[in-house]
Amino acid sequence: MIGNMVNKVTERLIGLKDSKGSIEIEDLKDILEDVAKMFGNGTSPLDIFLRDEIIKISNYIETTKNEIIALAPDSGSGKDIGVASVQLDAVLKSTEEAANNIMDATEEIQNLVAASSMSIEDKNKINDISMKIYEACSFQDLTGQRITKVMKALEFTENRINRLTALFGGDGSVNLEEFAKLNKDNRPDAHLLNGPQLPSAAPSQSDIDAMFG
Amino acid sequence: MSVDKNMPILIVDDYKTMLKIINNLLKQLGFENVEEATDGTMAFDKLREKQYGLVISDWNMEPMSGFELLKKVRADERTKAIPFIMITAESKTENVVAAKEAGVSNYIVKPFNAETLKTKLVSVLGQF
Repeated sequence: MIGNMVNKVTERLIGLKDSKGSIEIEDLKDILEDVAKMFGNGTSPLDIFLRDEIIKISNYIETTKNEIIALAPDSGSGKDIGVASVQLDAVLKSTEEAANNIMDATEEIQNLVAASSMSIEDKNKINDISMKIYEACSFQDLTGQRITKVMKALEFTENRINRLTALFGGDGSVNLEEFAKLNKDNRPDAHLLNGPQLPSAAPSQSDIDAMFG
Repeated sequence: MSVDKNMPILIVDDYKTMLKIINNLLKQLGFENVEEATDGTMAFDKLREKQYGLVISDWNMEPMSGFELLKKVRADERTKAIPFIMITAESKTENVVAAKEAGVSNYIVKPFNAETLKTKLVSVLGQF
């Protein structure tokens, strides 16, 4: 009986491959359900065991499929990924705006100080403080780069989920070539673009200075 | 020989905030003739049009990165002698080595302070 069953399944798989060009997850589930039926109402311990196992695999495929479809960008948890990207983009823009406003205000203070009758000493003190404000504003560049990295990771995850959803019978509109293009950095030095590094994972400015003698 | 503080300096970064920071720090150090570009392509176009005394560039920019700009600058007869300082968050040893091999004059890791910028300027241009 098992040999006959294997032959039937093999024939069906070949038929599917010939007619559709590929075998979908959904087809596998159908085949497994048919195989389970082939055992009919057999009551031997082996029949019961095999039938139960096949049904379990089939149910597992169905559950996995539904869970992956639930991750699609237009469904509940998938939407969260899109929302996270939008929120991060908003953080990026508002910190950039805040840093620019701080620097504009500092520049205005410097201009007022320059035009005032303050002593040179006091003017220099205020200029030094202004420099510290400008330096501190550079936080925006680094946080911006880190946020951009996280946004790219989210975008990658979203695309990956799209692809999985398509494979499991969700929206089949995914273009794999487009997907590959989206996630590829074509710059010649892309392999060197991994920053900003965490402070513990990279040489310090003094280490770098030593390399320049 | 003293440094000509009126020489044109080109700063290149895709973050407007960073351009502003570097521009302001240079002003504080007495360099008023500062121009800006937001990526390597724009910067190289400017470098071919005019003689600059110094380039200060970020690395990670699109479409042309600061590293590609450095290589182009060093490969062009008209620009190959221009001092080139990289200011970047790319701080891995392999980055510094690659930049050094490509001919970078000095390398500053972000975040940096005015004192570091001044020290590197002195090291590249001489005392001012």
